[in-house]
Amino acid sequence: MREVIREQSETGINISNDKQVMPSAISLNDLRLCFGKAEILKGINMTFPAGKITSIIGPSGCGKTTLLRCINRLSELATTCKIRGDILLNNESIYQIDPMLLRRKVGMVFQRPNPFPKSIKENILYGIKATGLKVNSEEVVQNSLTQAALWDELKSRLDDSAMSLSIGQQQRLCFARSLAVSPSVVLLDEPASALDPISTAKLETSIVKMRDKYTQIVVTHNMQEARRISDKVAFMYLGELVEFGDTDKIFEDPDKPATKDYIIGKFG
Amino acid sequence: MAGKKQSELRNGLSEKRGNGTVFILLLPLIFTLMGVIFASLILIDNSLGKYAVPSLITASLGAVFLLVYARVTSHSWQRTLIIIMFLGIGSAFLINLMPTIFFGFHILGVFHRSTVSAILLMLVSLPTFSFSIFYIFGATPKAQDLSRYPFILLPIIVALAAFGLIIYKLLVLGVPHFSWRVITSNFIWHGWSTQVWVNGWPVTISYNVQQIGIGQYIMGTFLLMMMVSLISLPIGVGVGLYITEYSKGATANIIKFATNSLRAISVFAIGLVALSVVRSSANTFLAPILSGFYYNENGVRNAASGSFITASIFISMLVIPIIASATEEGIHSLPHDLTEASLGIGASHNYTIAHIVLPWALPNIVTGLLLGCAETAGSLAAIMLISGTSQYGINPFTQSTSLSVFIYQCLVTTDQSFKKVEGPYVYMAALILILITLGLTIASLILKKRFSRSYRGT
Repeated sequence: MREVIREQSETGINISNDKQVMPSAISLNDLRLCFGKAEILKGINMTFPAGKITSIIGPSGCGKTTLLRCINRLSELATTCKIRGDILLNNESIYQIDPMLLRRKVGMVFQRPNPFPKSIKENILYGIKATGLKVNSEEVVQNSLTQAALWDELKSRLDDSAMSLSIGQQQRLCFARSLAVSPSVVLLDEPASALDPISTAKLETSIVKMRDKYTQIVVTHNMQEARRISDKVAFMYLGELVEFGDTDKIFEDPDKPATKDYIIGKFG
Repeated sequence: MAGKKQSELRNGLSEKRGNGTVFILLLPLIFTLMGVIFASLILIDNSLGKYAVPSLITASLGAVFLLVYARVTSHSWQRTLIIIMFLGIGSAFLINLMPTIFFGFHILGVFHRSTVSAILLMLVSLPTFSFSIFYIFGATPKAQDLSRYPFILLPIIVALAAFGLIIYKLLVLGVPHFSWRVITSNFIWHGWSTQVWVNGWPVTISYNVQQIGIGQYIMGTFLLMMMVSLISLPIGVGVGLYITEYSKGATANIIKFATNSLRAISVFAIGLVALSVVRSSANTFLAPILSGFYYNENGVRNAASGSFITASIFISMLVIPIIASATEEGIHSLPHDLTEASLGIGASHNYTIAHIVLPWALPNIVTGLLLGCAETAGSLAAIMLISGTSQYGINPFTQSTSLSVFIYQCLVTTDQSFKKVEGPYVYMAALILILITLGLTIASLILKKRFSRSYRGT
């Protein structure tokens, strides 16, 4: 399956985009996070390489989603949240820039599809209009929908309401929406957990196709999915990074025994 | 022993569909239905009280039939039926044979025997009616569900009957005097009036009535609704938005409490404050606006006794809480993922509020606005206290008028010519007021559905 998806990405569509933003690397320096008294993240040090797809796997409650939401500063919106440590986007601390500007560079796709209750076109153009950029809207819509493999299905009904799509299409629309603002990093929080296998396969194909254009960080519960799509895998347990390495190495010959136990299913 | 009982029970159940048993059940059904109808008729028209006792006896007879049937088919006594039977017979006995000992409700010293007997009749026949339905449908759990329908339907019928009675009376008394000319023309009086004493009471007689109509009252109602909406909509939506989005914790709770308390304050307290504000602005530049002015025939500006503007400012104090709580409810119903998605894509907080939150809350805001309009149309106390009673047109700077003011005046005025001339149209005015409220409600439902479809996707 992984070979098939790799092949498909090589014959992908070439999209020439003058305003192409280069993918960026993200480094976490000793990141610690507390919600009130509970310590969720206990000192994470890692680097997500630019232009590659990294998966974060681990059992429920180990802090994967919280880590992801730290990167685009959504975790701070909760009032009891305290963060120590630093996150660097291309060697620039994200806590020094305006969160709004950060979120334009770091997009996010959520677990349950949440398209806005507007038309498909307005969904895609929402981010651009919010930031006030002047773009050729038709070109942007076509580019984004093509990158998410939705253009052929939806090109005739761009003015329909986004809520009339199926769940798989809505999730791909959310993916396209986050790509429309030309981010350099895309965060995906269990993107396929609410989808059926066919939609999952389509979404995974789109993610793999975008490999060298964006840095993608995927949190997933599904180890097979991590194996299929990612270049590097990080295994987290109870708020700590246990192991981080290439996909093949983690799944076939991991260093730590905890990783091995999780992979073979001793705990989950 | 158990087997014998079971087979008997089975026989009993299969027997119930025979013709004989159903006929026996129809009799109590008819008796108790007649009992229910008679009870309601007696409550409406007390002179039918002499039918109470026979109805009680027939309803108790119905209970006896049902008891016999229950005993025969399922070998059980229904305790409720026994109690009802004794209640029916006992109350019939008491009402009939000992009228001097049985005391009814003493309302203003009058002996209301028919009311009490009607209540007792209803108490006896309604449960028995349910029981007879239960047995007719075969004494199954589904039949038990069906047998509850009389209790459910009775309040519905009462509510509909009350509403129907009001509409019927208004139609009967109002429609014969209807004409388009009356509705669209203003009431203008030019002449003079004198006061005479008739039977010890002062009576005003006016002469030279020039034009009959209720046009300015209807237009005044609409003008008042418009001005109140203009003032209270921005403030109400702003308060609702501030409470939910911009302030946290204690401040939000205090403001929410204060807003809801505005509704709980008596209208007269608000009116008193309004009156004192108007009086204290007597010699300042605000005086013409707040207490009204008009130009008489020589072009001289005179002070009037009130203005629409004052009225709308102070009625909007009653309407702002309605709109604010509607907005708040709408914003609370917004799912969190939408705000997160909008923030995650790089939109600012204010952009999210303008483009996601407020459109989502729009159906609720529209409902709140139209509820506020309905309240304005019916509010009388504020207008009477603050802003004078009537004018001959709809100038927003002189006294305010409204349909409620017109109805009040028709009932209270001692001006006999006014009553003779405009009196017949008071029922028409009430009907128009009801129609305005009805139209507003229907409009709010339609708009809410339309906005919900386009702004919420459902």
